[in-house]
Amino acid sequence: MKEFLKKFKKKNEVSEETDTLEQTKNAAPEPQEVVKTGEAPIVHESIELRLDNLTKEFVQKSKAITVAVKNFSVTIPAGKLIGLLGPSGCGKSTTLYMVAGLHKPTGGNIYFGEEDVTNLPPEKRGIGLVFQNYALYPHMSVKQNIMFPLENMKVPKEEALKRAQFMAELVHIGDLMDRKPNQLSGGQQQRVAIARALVKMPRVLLLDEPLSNLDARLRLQTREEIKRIQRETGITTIFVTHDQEEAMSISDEIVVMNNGLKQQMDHPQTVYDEPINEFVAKFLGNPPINIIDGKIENKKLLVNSNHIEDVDFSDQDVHIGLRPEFFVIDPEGVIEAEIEIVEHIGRDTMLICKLEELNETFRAIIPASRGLNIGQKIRFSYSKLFVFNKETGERLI
Amino acid sequence: MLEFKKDGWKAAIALGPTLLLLSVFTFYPIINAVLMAFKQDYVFLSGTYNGIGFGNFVTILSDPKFLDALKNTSIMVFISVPLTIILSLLLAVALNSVKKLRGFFQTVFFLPYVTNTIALGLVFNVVFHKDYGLFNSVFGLELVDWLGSGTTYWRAMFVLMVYTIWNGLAFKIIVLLSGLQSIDKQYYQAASVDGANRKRVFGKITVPLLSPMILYVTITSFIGAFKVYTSVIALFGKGAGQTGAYGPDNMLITVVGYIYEKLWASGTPFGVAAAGSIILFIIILLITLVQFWISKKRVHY
Repeated sequence: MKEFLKKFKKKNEVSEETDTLEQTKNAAPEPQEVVKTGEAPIVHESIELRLDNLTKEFVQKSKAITVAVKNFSVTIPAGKLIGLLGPSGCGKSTTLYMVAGLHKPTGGNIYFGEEDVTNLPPEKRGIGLVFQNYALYPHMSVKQNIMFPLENMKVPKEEALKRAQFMAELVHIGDLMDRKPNQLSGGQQQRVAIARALVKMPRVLLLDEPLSNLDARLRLQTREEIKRIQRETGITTIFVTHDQEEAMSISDEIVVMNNGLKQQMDHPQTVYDEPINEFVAKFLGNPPINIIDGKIENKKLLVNSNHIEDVDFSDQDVHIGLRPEFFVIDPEGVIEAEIEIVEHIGRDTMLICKLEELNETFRAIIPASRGLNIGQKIRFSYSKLFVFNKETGERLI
Repeated sequence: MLEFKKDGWKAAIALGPTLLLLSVFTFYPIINAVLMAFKQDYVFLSGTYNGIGFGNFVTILSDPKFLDALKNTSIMVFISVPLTIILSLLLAVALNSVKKLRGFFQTVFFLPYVTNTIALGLVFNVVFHKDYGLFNSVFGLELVDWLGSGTTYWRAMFVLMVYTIWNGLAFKIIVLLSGLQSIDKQYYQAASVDGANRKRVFGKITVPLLSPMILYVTITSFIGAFKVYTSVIALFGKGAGQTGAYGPDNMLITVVGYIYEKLWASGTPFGVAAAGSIILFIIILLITLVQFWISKKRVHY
């Protein structure tokens, strides 16, 4: 396996020159270039993926128009893995299907490198797509499934077999080649789907919630596996998920979507630390961020007439966002609360507290500590807080 | 099991009527037909016979008319069945890919199925009429006789096949169409991403995933076609200037037709017709077994 990979990488490095040459020769480079001699298939030079003002409207039977994706613009750097994150129905899968060519955008353009692929059918785009439920052909063996895209490209049989075997080894299913999909576990099926998507050396790899059918342990393992395979192949990848932890752990950058609109795109930690609006702040983080009603009056941030701190904004109603880990126990702190529940979770202790007077609870995570009792009054200060406009959700602080 | 025993009488009540009807109209006749086939010189009314043996089978297999019937039926089966299946598959795929007017086309293709066979035979008699027929005038053929006394064996067979194929399409299209609609759309999306052209999608995705339905249609069609009888009567029986119910000189007599004739022919014992039906049963059984054997390798459930 390691030898395979070494060869694979070496070929990959060598190939870049020839590939660039070929690309200049053909205006629209075919993604399925094969090395005639090679034991291992060759990866194309990674390409940048650019979505420009992408819009998708669905016309329903009642003639009502649903806008699934609105003016979505994103540039995905070559060779990066991007997590497309959002709640169900936010348009992330629609976006992915537009990149794949299975949905035709209502407006906007899709560029693979310099090439405008907006009007190309899926088979001409050079993409690999892993479906949520894998969509493995049930009547074909693993080997036939992986070889199917190569046969479509009329790769000679021997070459196709070699490449299929290589891909199968890359995803650790080399010994399952003669099984049918229904004889495989969920995790194995998922690897077959990835191998099938990768075997034609796509320019872009698209993953549509590929882990949602796996159990928790397998999910963790496979997610690392996907990252490894993506690094080794260097294929620009979009990974769609509604699971924030998954997106944050696997992605080089994440794009948060809601209601068909791009909310924020950045490195996962940056998005977590500096959310651009209330939606992003609420969507990321587990346990979720605490949102408390407040207002700004005379440049003072107030919660229920308690003065929290001075701010430089005009008068308005606000939501104050405090992540559980922002709380610090401090006898001089401005937040006074009563402990309702104490949960010891090993490294940390989680407190569910009731805000004095406000009848609202919040969660705080503090370093593991004993001697905290239910019903006890406690004071917190905070290391940081977010302030959002109550109407627009826009972040002020 | 215990529960079943306890509820035995309930099961008996539920199954009783069906079993009774099946016994009277299916099981008893089958058993009786088998017995009859081996009874020599069996007389139906008195129930007397003259020993047991293969005499009836010898009689029937040495009758050139039966071999004719066997030949006619086989030609019909082995040409018309594959053709209808291929045609209905193509039509089902075509119907499945149109969105507008699908209901309309479905109705059009399904109409023959619910129309009286005899009425269809009349329509064909008009269409293939020697002097005024639509077929002759559309194809510019001058006074070619298809169904009358002036027809030839292959002309008559041609009309019979057109009739059988067209008449059989409806049911097969409906079955295959429902099979097509139950195939997950995602396989087609995957195939499209995998770069399969239409031909390969059809050959590598649609047909294999539809194979259980195709098997079902094939087996029922073969069985149905071996029992061909009414269509011949509908086309040739009682037509103007007919010399036989199965075409001129009964040239298109089928196995079932032969059995029917033998049943009422004076001087022929009932056992001969019974032997004919046993032979037909064995042929159908063998062909079905062969199909199952092939399907083990080819059908993906």
